[in-house]
Amino acid sequence: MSQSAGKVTLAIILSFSCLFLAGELLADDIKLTSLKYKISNQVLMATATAEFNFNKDVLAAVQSGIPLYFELHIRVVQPRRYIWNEERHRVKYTFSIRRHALSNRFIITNLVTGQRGVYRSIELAIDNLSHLDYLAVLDTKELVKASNLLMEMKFKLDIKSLPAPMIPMAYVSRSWHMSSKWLRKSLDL
Amino acid sequence: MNAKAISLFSVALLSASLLCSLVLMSGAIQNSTKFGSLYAVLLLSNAFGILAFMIIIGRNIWKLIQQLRTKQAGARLTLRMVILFTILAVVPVTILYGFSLDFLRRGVDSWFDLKVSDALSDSLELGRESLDLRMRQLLLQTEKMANELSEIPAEITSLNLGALKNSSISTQPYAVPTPAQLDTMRSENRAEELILLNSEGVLIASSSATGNLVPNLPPEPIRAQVRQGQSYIGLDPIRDGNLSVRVAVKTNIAQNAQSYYTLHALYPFSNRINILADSVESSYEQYTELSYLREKLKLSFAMTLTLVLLFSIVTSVWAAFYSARRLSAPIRDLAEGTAAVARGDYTKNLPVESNDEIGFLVSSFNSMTSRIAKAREEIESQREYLDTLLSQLSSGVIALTPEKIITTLNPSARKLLGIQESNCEGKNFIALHSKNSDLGPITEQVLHLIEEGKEYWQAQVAILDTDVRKELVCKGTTVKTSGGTISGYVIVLEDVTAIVQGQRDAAWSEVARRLAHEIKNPLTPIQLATERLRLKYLNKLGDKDGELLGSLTDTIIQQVETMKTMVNSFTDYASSTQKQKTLTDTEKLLKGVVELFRSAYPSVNFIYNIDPNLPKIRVNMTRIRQVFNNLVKNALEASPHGIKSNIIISIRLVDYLNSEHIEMEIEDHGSGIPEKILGSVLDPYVTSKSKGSGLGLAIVKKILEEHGGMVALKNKKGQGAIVLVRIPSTGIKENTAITLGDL
Repeated sequence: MSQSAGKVTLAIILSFSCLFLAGELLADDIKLTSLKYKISNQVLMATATAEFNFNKDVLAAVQSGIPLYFELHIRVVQPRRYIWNEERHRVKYTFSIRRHALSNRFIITNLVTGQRGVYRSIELAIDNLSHLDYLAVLDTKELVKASNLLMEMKFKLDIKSLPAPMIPMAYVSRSWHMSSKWLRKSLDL
Repeated sequence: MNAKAISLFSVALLSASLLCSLVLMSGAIQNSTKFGSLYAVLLLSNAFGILAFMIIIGRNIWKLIQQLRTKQAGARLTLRMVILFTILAVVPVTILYGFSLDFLRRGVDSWFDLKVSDALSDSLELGRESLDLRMRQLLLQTEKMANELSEIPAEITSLNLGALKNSSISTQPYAVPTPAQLDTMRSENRAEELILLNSEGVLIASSSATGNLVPNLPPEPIRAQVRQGQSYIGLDPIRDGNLSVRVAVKTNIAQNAQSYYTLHALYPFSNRINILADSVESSYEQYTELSYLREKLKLSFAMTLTLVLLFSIVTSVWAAFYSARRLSAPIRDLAEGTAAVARGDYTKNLPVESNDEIGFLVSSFNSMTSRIAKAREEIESQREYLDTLLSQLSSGVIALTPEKIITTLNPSARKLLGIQESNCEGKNFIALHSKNSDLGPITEQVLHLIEEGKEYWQAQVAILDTDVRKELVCKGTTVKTSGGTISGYVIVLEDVTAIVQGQRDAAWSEVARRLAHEIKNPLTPIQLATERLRLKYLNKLGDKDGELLGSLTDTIIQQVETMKTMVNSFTDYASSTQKQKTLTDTEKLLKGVVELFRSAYPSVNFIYNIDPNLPKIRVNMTRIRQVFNNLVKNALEASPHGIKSNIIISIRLVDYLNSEHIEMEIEDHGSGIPEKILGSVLDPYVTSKSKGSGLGLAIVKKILEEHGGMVALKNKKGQGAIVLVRIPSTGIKENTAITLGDL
C-alpha cells in the first residue's frame, strides 16, 4: 500500500515538474534581440533590446489594472568545459508596468533605480521597455581579472508577484509563462 | 515513546501544519501583500498534506480489509464504527461546504454591483472631464506664454544654453527669454516648471518652482507631436504619483523654417485635487482589478474551501479510524479471549487499560476465566481420579447417555465383554451387539431392563466368549438430574463365572463324595457274596444251570468292578490335592505318561516341542500325572484308529497374569469336540464318548484349578482339537479367577 502511495506522490511531483519545465522550454513571448556593453568609469553597463509578444490574457490583465512585474537577470559567468558555468556576478532589475486609470496612461517603473516613464498607450510602454539602456551591471574593480567571461541576460515575467488568486492558474497556464532565453555576450574587459 | 505515540504525534503535527497552512492561504487570498508570494507554496503544501493524510487513511483501509478477510476479531465492529463516524463527520461538513460555496459565490458576485461600477466609471469620467477643462485652460495659458515669448526683442536675448552644451550648434543669438523673464512668466502662470527646447530637443532655458536642477524633459513622442505642429497636453503622474499637467507648444521664435522652439510647462494640481484624484483612481483601480479577478477569486476561495473540506474529511476519517480502533480494541481483545476460552484456553489474561465500563467488563472476564480454569483443573483432577479408579476396578463399568451412547467403558468392562476396540466412547451400546454376536444376550437384557424404566435393576446373564460360557451379573442404575430428567445410565458388570463354577464344582464334589460313600460300601459285600455263590453252587448245578449261574455271576462281578471304577473316579474328583506337593519335572512326568500308552497306540506318533529351559514346578505329582494321563488318553482316543496320525505336545514357559506359567498344548488330529458340548465339556458327565464317564476333563479342570492353573479346549480350524493347560511355575495362587478371555 505504502509503495503504491509513494508511486502516486512521485507521479504528481513529476507532473508538476514537467509542467514547469515545459513552460520554461516553450518560452518565446520575450525575445532578447541584442546585447551590448560599455565600460564607463570602470562600471560595466549593459544595453539590450527586446521584443515583447504580450498575449491577450496578459494585455487584458494590464488593461484591467493588474500590475505586472518583469525581472531582468544579468549575470557574468566563467564558462567551464565539462560542468556548468561558474557564476561570478549577478544583478536583477525589476520593472513594473501598470495602468493609471485617471490619466489613462501606462507607467513603467524601474524598481531598482526608481526611473519612471509615462506612456499614452500600452504599445508605447512596451516599446520603451524594449530598449534597455545603460544598465549598471558591476564595478569592474570587483571582478578578478579573467578571460572568456560571458555576460548573460534573461527577461521574465514574475508570476509570484501577481495577485494571489491568479497565481495557481498562472503556474499552469501557458499564457503567463513569459520569459526569454538566456542571451550571451562575450566580455573583453 | 512507542511507535503508536510517534504515529499519533506525527498525525497531530501534520494536522496542525495543515491548519496553519490553510489559515495562511486564506490570508494570502484576502490580502496578496501578506503571503501572496507564498500562495503557491501554501497551496502545494496543503495538497501534499491532504495527500499524506489520504495515504495514511488508505493504509488504514487496506489494513481493515486484510483484517476483514482474515476474519480478525473486532474488524467488523471497527468497520461499522468507521462508517458511522465518517458519515457523522462527512455529511454535515459536506452540506456546510455546499452552502458555503454557494454563499461564497453569491458574496463575491454581490461585490460587483452594476450601480457601483457605473458610479465609479462616472466618477472617473467626471474627474477626467473636470481635469480636461482645467487642462484646456492651461493649454491656452501656455500658448499665450509662447506668443509672449515671440514678442520679446531680439537684442535683449543673451543666453543660448544650447550653444553652451554643444559647440556644433550655432552660437548666433536668438530671441530667447532670459531666465528672469522665464521665472517671471512661470510664477505669473503658476507653473511648476517651464522649459524652452530647441528643435533638436536641446534645453535652451528652464525655470522650476521646486528648484530641481534636472528638469523633467518631455519624452520623444511628445516632441515628435510638437514637431508636427500639434500642441501636446496631458495629465501625467509625474512624481510620487501626484498628478501634473504637461503642456508642450511650438513657439514662433525662429530664424528660419527648419528651426523652432518648444515651450514645455508642468502645472501642478492642488493637494486637494490630488487627494481626490488619487482616491478616485485607487477605488477605480481596485474595483477593476477585483472585477478582473472575479472568477479567479471565486475559484481561489472555492479551492481554499475545498481544501478545508478535504482537510476536515480526511482528519475526520482518520479520527474515525483512530477512535474506532481505540474503542474496539478492548472488545476485540474480549472476542479473542472468548474464542480462546471456547478453544479451551483459559490462560488468556486481557490487559485492563481503562477504568470505565469496558475496563470493568475486561476485569470481570479475567476473573471469570481464572475461576473457570481453576474449576476445570479440579474437574480434570477428579476425572483423572475417577478414570484411575475405574481402570483399577475388577468390575466392569459402563455409562450410557439417555440415547444409549457409551460415555464410559472401563478396561474391566472391555475385558469382560471381550471388546478389542480401545475407544468405544461415543458409540452406541447396541452397536456392540452388531460387532460381536456373542454379546447379544447382554445387550438385549440391558436394553430390556432400561426400557422397563426401573431406577435400579439387576440380572444375571450368560454369554459365550470364545466358546467359553461366562456368567455376568449386571447391575444398573438410572441417573437422574435434580429435575427428575434421565441424564444417563450406569451399568456395573461382575464376572461370577468362577463363583458359579466353584459352587457347581462343590456341589458335584459333594455328590461324588456321597455317591462314593453310599455306593462303595455295599459293592464289596455284593462282589464277595456273588463270588461265594458262584464258588458254592457252580459245581453243584448241572451244566446248563451251572453255565447260567457262571454267566450271571460274571455279569454281577463285572458290573461291580465297573461300579468300583466309577466310585474311584468319584473319589478322585472329590479328593483334594493340597497335600504332598513336590518339585516335579513336567517334561519327564509327561513323557513317562506317554510311554505307558505308546505300545497300545502304535499308529500314533508323538511330536514334542518342549522348551529345554523349563523350571521344575511344585505340584502334587500324582494328581498332575492323572491330568496328563487323562489328556493324553483323550487325545489318543480322539485320534483316528488304524491310521498314522500325530499328537503334537508343546510345553513352554509363558508370562500369564504377571507370573510365570508352564503352558502345555496337546494337539490331536481327531474329529474335534462337537459344537453343542464345547461350552460345557469341562462339566461332569458331559462327554461325546459312548463309554465315557464324563468325569475325565472335569477331574483335569478340578486338579488344575486346585493348583492355580487352568484348562481350555478349542477345535482346530482344519481337524482335531487343542487342549491348553497352564500351571503356575512359582507358587500356587489360591482362588485365582481365570476366564476364557485370558486365553
